Amino acid sequence: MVDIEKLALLARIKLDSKEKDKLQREFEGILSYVSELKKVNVGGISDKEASKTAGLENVTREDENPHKPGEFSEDLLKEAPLVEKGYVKVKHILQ
Amino acid sequence: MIKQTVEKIKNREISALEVAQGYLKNIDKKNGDINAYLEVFDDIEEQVKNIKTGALSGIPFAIKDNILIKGKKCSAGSKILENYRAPYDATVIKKLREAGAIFLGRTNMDEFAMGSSTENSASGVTKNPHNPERVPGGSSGGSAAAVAMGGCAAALGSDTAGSIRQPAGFCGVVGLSPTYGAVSRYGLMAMGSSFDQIGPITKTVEDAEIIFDVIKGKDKMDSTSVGNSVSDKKPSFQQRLKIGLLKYDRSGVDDEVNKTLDESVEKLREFGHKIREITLPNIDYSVPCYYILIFAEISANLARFDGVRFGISKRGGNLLEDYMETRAQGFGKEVKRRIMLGTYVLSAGYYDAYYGHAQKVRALIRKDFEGVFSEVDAIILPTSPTPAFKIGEKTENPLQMYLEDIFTAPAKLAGAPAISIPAHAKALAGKPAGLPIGIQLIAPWFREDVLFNLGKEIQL
Repeated sequence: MVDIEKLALLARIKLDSKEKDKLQREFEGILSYVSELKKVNVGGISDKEASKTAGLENVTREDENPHKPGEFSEDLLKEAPLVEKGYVKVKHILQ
Repeated sequence: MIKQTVEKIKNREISALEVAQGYLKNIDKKNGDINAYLEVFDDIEEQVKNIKTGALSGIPFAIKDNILIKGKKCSAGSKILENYRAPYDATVIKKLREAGAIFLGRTNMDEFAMGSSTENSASGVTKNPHNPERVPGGSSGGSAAAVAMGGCAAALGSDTAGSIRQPAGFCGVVGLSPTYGAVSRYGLMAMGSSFDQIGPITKTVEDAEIIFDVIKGKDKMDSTSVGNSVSDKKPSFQQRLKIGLLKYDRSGVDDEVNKTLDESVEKLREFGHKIREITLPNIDYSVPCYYILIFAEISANLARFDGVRFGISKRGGNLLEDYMETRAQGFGKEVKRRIMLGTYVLSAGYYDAYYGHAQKVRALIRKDFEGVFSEVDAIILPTSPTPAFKIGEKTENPLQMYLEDIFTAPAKLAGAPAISIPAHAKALAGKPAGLPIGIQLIAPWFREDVLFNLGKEIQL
């Protein structure tokens, strides 16, 4: 049985008991449907082939030419719910 | 239609303002019932004054609510972003604006693009302009409805497993899902980063082609975008092609859809193309494969919505509770369901069995397409198993809705371009207008030109 309570914590979503029950039921149906995939023999596919999703290669660039400090700050901070002295404010993270 | 309108404005037969006002009048008349637009922008006259010269000069667009326009609200159909204003333009918006387009407003969608009916929006359902009891499809239902109801010249939508093609089919308009990487995703709120593409929804295939030519291209802000010269090598319109008719279980598909497909195939035969039956051996696994992968990608992409940097913010006793409350109150049912499922398939002990395995099945499905495209130039198949269903008809069981993607998911697993063309079975002539039906074409990677050329031959 799927531990809905644990998943909800991992997903950072608070669920009430009605939602938990409903999800518990729905999970079984959906998981059993997608588990049909187990029938497929993927023996011929290497891990490298599988990771090349959509046929693209990873690209990287040099870590250079940063934008001017503060160039986008005003626009971005405007959207943050809690701001103080140019910082996004949050409750403490570490005890 | 776009080309003619741009000409008329250039020749001063009509002004850009008059064109925009024509659409605004229709929106005024119809949007109250249809609810295609979430917001009509209040700066249309200002935009009209600053139109640039280009292939889309003066053309009014409706934009899906998950594509960022600087300074405008953008909410992905979700409560969690109800107060969010975009701090920057999506690349496609920049490109449209450079080509002379104006933006009339943002359109309704399934929340975070999760759905096939636009019934999952936090802002109410959108109705199909052809029949108010029916869904317009989803997740780009608002965009498709806006075009179909005459509320814009064209719209932008996004397609992850059918979210442009299926609503286009249900609403009787054209919808293109480009090759993965053809159009920049910068400024598109991400749902499935290895599937998402922005594409045009239009009245005609010609219009879709014009818009695609404007929005496509490599973008340094999207490292998955690919500049590609293949689609610039357009074959002559006269070229006859080999077209693969997908073999599928016809008993599982609406009679009208089967008939319409066969008649579209006949049209192509009359144009001189060669038709042969093809199979995609792993196609039956497309939907479960897609859903495992998309649940995983969704759980990752939606982790950013935590009430800290943007969006609504609900407070608990500590930071963890802030997250739990914000997401509990901000997300709708389907979004929560998918995040939870994604968290599960990616969790320790299950990752390889579900996600790892699905990645390999995806590679297999891609190989199926490579095999088929070594023999034919395009694939023809239905867009959806049925025409537009009734509002509320498929909301009982999430699986019912997922199965709507049966014909649209395969192309996205392979990253191949696909288009839905409005078509009608001749058998319907004489009967009262039936619901629209879309016929789908899939082409090899970066061969949107094939989709446009064939589409022009079968469009109504």
